[in-house]
Amino acid sequence: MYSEKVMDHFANPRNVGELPDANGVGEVGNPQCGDIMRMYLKIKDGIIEDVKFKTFGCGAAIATSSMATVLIKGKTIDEALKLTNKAVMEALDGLPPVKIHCSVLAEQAVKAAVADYYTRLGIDPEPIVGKIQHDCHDCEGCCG
Amino acid sequence: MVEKVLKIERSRYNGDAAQRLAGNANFCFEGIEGEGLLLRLNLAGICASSGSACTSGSLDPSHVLLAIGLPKEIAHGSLRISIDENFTEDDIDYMADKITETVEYLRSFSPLWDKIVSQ
Repeated sequence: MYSEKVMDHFANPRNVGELPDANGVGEVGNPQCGDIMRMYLKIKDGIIEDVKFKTFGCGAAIATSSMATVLIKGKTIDEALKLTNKAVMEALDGLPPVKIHCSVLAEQAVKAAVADYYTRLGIDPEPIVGKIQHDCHDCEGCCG
Repeated sequence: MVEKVLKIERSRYNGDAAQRLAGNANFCFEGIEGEGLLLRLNLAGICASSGSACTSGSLDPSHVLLAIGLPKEIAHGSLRISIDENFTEDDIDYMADKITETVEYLRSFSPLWDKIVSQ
């Protein structure tokens, strides 16, 4: 049901772990839904110098987190904020329809971490990052 | 195998220990999600099942585990193993070792597990 790329990123997740010197940390999802993603960013001069993640979730949740870190590492904040769930999905050669919400969570985890970076600087993140979706909006019933 | 697997911290055996289908074992492991466990066991050559029927299009945890009173976040981390008379002692040891190793690996980067152990 998963593409080879999804299985590769699930079996060998990239950038997994924590960043002790992160200056932006974001977490989205909830345990009732079965997915939590936490993203650690180390941002310097507007560039994402390093990124790591920790994820509780299914294979697609782990693979989309991993791919999202690969896609934003070394990029500017603006570029990272432009990362869409669609781009994550395309980079993984697609996801089964029931797993699309995982790519949405990965996109939101990046945005939540950037929002935390701005909050730490005393800047209101919402005009820059937008509103963060903390839950998987797509799964019906499981969050009830 | 059940004894060995239950040595894993914060694991539980679902259902009655004796009054159950022969050759069937059902576990929950806190802090991880069943599908990830299943896929990794599959890569190690172990065919198992989980409560959440991802392949059937439902992401909900097992309704049976919920009905026996497990909270959703624990029911998400379920594993069902079935064996028959063709399994050897070595097979069973291998499964128990792989389950232990995989649960530990998935917990090593689970933010939920971090929260559970810090409580």
